[in-house]
Amino acid sequence: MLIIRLALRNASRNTRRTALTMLTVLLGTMLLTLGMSWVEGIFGSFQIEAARSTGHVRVVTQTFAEREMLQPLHENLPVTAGLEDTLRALPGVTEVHPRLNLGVLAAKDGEELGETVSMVVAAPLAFHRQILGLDQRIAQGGWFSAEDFGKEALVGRALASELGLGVGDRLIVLGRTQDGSMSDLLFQVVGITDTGNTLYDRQIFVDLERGRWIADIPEGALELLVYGEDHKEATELQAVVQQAISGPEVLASLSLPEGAGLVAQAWNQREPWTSALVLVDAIAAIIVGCIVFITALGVLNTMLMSVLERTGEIGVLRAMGLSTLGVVALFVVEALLISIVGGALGSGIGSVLSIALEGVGLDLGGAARNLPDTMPVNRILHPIWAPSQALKSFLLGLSVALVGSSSPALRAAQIQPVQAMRARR
Amino acid sequence: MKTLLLLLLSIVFAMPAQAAPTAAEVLATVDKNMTFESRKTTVTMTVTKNGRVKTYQMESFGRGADEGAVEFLAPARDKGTRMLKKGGELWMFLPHVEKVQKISGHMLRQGLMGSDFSYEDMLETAALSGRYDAKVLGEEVKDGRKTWKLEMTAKSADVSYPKRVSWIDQEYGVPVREELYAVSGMLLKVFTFTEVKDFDGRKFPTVFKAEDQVQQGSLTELRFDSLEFTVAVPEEVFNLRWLER
Repeated sequence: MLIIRLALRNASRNTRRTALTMLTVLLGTMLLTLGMSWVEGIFGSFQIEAARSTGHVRVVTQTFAEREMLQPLHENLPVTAGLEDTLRALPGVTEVHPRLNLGVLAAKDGEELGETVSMVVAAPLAFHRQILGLDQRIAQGGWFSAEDFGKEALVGRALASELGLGVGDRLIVLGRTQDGSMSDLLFQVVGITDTGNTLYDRQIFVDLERGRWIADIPEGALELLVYGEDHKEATELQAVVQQAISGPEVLASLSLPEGAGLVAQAWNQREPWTSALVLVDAIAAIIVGCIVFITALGVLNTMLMSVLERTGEIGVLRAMGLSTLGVVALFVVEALLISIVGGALGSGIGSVLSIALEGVGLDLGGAARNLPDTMPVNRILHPIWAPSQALKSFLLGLSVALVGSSSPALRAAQIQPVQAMRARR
Repeated sequence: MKTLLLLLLSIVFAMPAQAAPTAAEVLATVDKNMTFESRKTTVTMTVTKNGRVKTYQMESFGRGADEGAVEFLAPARDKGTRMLKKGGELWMFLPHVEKVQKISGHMLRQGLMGSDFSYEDMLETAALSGRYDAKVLGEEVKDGRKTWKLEMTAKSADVSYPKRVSWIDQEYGVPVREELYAVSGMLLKVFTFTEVKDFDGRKFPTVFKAEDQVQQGSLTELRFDSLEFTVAVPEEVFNLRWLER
């Protein structure tokens, strides 16, 4: 109690220095809160979109997984209905969707084919609606009709702009079958989607059966996308799915060629996501590390000033019987008391700013076009604030104060009473 | 007896040995057999790839080296697909979108309907002697036939295969086997030609096979079910409007 009273008195004696320490912690925790919300906003949404577009777990043939870059359409899942039922019955599985992503040449009817390459995403309309949320992201036109949905397509904003497509226009796609022959098809554009996502905005979304026709895989798909409750639990879900698809009866139900095998892949175990996640963690650590270092340096500096100013006083306290540990505690508690106020204010201000910026966002504009088409990165970036970020920043602020004040406190503890009082005279 | 022996020996030595023809002579014979003024055929193309077998049926017309037309009759999903070659250009009619598409650039190097014959292979039907310099490498028995082995080097850079090695049947004057190479010297494709038939004095192989050496396990067979040379082909066939008829 005596230590706390002394620490409070010391803190109030030099208000300018105390204010400086407090400001350092305030700025540090505020920046930490802001930084964490942006990291969560940018990279968290990146992870959500990645898991959404690739499936929390996906099932493909082993050879397709190995040669995916070459688009080996013949390495498909020839008959998927039985396996879909098997996967839907697994614990933790909420949805299963067959999908074919097919590289095509695309053009507006009447224009030359050959310049524009795109991707036809063929899946059940439920996938486009429930997983990608495209029905909520239509900028022009509307959703697929109940009667002619097989002949209709939703087109991403960037692709529509490049091809000069509008709602009601006819879209020609030229793909290839799994045997390599040309496969041409005509679609009516019913809607232009604006997802703010660089990947989706260059794609063509159609019903599963149309994709099956293009690739000439009448009952199959290239991938089966499996979803659970939370994309962060994909690794656990992958283990369950992998076990379920390993049985010989499953392989038999798929009509796979002899010797072919299936593999279940969690979204975060596949490239480019695996490398991207390592990079994301490294960037987040660098951001937090820089802020913590600068804050700690500020606290260390002001507390060191305090020790130097109070050398004589420390000598008197030591002569009156204050132990070495007591001196250390005195300075650490003083730093902690200042940091509690500074940290609380910093976390609070940082939280207010983060919440305010959630609605504004940062538009990458034209720079988004330079991002790789395989990455589902949102064009407009938003911070995402969570109470845990404010709490973490506050606790980190206290830790920084503890670390920053420990060196001056130890230095103060080493002061000899006689020398200190002599120096005071 | 001695007289008879002397007579036999004199006959043997009096016969001139079969001198190797020049490369130009061999190529001239091949060109005479393989090129035509006009031609009408029905063809079955069987593509075996990745363990799957797909069969196409088509009807084709040709006029000289510069004009050719193909219409796919089967399977159902490809029925109505038509191709037209005019000079060095190739157009394709896509029946599901009812659109004429020019095949150019990288598309030319893709396999015709996924086969081992590329669109470029379709374009290059002109006489070999006009496109390649050749030299005879020797005699070989290939696939049971006595052949001249020829090495051909492209005269210009605009041909698909800068080098080809051909085995020309000595009796029929048609290729038995051809190996097609890239600039790097890499073997790209092997063509084999069998079941040579006589068409009013012209020898012509009625089964072509192509094996892509880059994509292993891929084989395409072209079987001519009917073949007529020097026939009257309607003029409209070689018109772009024929594609959309």
